[in-house]
Amino acid sequence: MKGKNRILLLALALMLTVVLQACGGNNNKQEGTTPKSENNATDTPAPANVTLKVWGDLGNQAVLEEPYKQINAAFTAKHPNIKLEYDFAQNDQSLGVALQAQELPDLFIVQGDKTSKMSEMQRNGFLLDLSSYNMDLSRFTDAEKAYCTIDGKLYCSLPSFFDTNVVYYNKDIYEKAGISVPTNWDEFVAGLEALKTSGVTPIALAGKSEWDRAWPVFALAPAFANDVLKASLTGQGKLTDDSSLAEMFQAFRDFADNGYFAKDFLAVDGAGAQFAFTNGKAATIIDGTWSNSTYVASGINLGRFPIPNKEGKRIVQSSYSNFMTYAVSANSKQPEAAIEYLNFLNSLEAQQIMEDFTGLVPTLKDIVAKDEGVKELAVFDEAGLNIYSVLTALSTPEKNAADIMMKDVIPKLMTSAITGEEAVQILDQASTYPN
Amino acid sequence: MNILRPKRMIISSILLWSASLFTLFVLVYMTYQSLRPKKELLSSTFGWPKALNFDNYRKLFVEAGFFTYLLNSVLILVGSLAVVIILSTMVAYGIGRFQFRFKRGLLIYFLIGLMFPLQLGIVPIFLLIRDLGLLNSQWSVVLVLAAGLSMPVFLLTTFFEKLPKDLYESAKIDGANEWTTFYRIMFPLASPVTFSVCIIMSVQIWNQFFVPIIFLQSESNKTIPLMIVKFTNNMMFNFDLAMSGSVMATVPLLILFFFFSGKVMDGVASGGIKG
Repeated sequence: MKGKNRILLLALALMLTVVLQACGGNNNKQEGTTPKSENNATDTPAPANVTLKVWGDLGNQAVLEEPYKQINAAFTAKHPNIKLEYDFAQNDQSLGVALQAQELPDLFIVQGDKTSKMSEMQRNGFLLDLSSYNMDLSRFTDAEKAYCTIDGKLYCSLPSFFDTNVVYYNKDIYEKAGISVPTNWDEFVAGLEALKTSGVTPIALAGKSEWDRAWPVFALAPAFANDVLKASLTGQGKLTDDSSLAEMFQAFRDFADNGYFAKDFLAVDGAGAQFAFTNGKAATIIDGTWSNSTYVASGINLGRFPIPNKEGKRIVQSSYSNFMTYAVSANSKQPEAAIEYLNFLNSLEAQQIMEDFTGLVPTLKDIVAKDEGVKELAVFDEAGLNIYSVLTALSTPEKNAADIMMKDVIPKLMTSAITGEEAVQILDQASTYPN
Repeated sequence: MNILRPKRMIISSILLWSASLFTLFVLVYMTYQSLRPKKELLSSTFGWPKALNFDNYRKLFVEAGFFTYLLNSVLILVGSLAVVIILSTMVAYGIGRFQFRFKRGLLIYFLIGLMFPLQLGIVPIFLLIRDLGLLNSQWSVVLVLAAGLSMPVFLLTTFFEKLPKDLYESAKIDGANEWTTFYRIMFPLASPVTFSVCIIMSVQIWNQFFVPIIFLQSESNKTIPLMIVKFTNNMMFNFDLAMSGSVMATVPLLILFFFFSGKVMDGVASGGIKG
C-alpha cells in the first residue's frame, strides 16, 4: 500500500513536470535561425519567415502602445516574412536580468548618448555594430547620428524627435494678472512676482520628485550657461570658467527663497504639482514636452513658452527622445531582419505615425507636426545643451556628477543650504574634463 | 475573556477605528474618483462632480482588457497557493511531528529563506526557468512564487509541534497509516493556520510585481499589478484608468478577506479528542 502511494506520488510529480514543459515549451525558441553573416553584407537577403523579439519601453507603455501597434502593422505589411513579437517588457530590472543572463531580445530600446548605459553595453559586447549595414541615414543630421555613435560606429536607430522643457502657463491666470508672455528674463521674473502678489502660486514644483524638481534647472541651464556647458563638454573650459552657471543655480534657489513655488512644495510629488497646475492653483509649471498631451486633456486654456535669457534669446535644452531608438543584440540570430526593422523606424512613415499619436517635437523637417500646440513647443532660437547629458559625459564610474546634481545639489538649493556658486564648485570637483 | 483593562481597550479601539476609517476613506475616495471623467479629474480634482458614470470601467474592461490580467492573476494566485499549501503542510508535518537528526538545522534552513530577498538570486532562477522552457509562461511565476515556503513552513511547523500526541496515536490504533493520518486528520485540523497562510500569501502573490515583470513579457500573460503600473507610470495621461484599475485590483482581495477573515481568527479546534 505504502509503495503504491509512493509510486503514485512519483508519477504525479513526473506528470506535472511534463505538463509544465509542454505549457512553456518553445516560448523562447527562435524561428528561422540563420547564421550571422561574416561580412554583414547588405546584399544578403533577409531570411525567410523569421521572428524578431522586440522589447518596448514599459515605463511609457500607455503612451506608446497605440503608435507601435500601427508602426508594427505597417512594417509587417511591408515585410510579411518577418514576424514581430513586440512586448512592452523593458525596464531597468528586466534589462539588467536579461544582460546578466545573456538573454536579450533581438531589439531593445537604448538611450543613446543621453546616459552612459549604451556605451557600457557596447563596451561589454552586447550591441551589434550597424556601421557596415549601409543604412540610409540621409535624412538625419550629424547631431542625430552622434546620438547613436560610439567610437565612430553606429549602434541604434536614429532619433527624430526632441524632448525639451518649457513653461506651460494658464492663459486665463496670466490674463487676469495682466501678464503677457515674457520676452526676456527680467520680464519672466517680474511676471512671477506679479503672480505671487496676486495670490497665485507662480510655479508648481514637485520638490519630492528627483526628476520633476530638476526640470526648471534643465530649462534654465542652456538659457544662462550654454557656452560654459559646451566648453566643458568639449574640454575647452570648465564649469567654473565664468559666473553664468552659478547665476543659473542661484536663480533656481531664488525662486525657492522668494516663494515662487508653493508653500509646501518640498512635500509635493510629480502628480501633485501637475494637479496644482491643471486645477488652476498654480499659474505655470516647468515640464517636459512629453507632458503636453496631459495638459491639453485637462481642458485648461494652455500656453507654452521657452524661458528667455537676459538678452531675450530662447535657448532650450535639447535631448533626443528615445521612443524610437533601438539597438540590436550582438547575439541576435537574425541581424538582417533586425536591420530591416531599424530601417523602418528610421523612415518618415514610422516617424509620422509616432508624431500623429504622441505629438512629440519633430527634429526632422519632413515630419508634419500633429497640431498647433506642437508647433508652439518647437518655437525657440537655439537648441542648447542638456545639463544632465553634459554632466554624464563629465562623470566617471567613481564620481557621477550628474547624479550629484540630481540627488545632492538640487535638494540643497531648494532648501537654501548652498548658494549657486557653491553648487558649481561641488559639480566642478565631481567632474572629469576631457583632455 | 477580555484581558485588557477598560482604559487601554478604549485607546486601542480608538486607534484601530481611526486606522480602519482612514483606510476606508481612501478606498471610498478612490472609488468615487474612478467614476469621474478624465477631463474633470484633471481640472477639478477636488471639486464637486458634474457627472458620475461607469465610462472608466467600460474602458478598463473593453479597451484595456482587464479580464485577461485578472485571469492571469487568479491563475497565478491559485496555482501558487495550491503548491505552497501542499508542500508546506507536508514539510511542516514532517518537521513538527517526527524526531530526527538535523531537525533543527532543517527548520533553520527554511527560516534562512526569510532573510534573503528574491532579487539576490534572480539571475540563476531566470536561467533555470529558461532551461525549463517556461519563460513568458504563467507557470514560471507560479513556480518561483510557490518556492516561498519559509513563512508557511514556520507557521505550520509550530502548529503541528503543539498538537497533542494522543491524536496521532489514536489514528495509529484505528489502523491509519502515515499518509492517511496526515490528510484525513492532521491536515483538516491545520485548516485555521492554512487559511492564515493563504490570506498572507495571497496578498504577497497578488501584489507581486518583480517576478512577473522578469518572467512575463507578452501582454496576454501579464498580471493586474503590471496593468496598474502601466497606467500609473504615465499617471496623468491615464488617470481615469489608473483609478478604475486600482479599484478593481483591490476589490477582489477585500472580498476574499471579508469572507475568510473569520476562519483566520478561529483557534485550533479543541474537540479533537474526547476528554
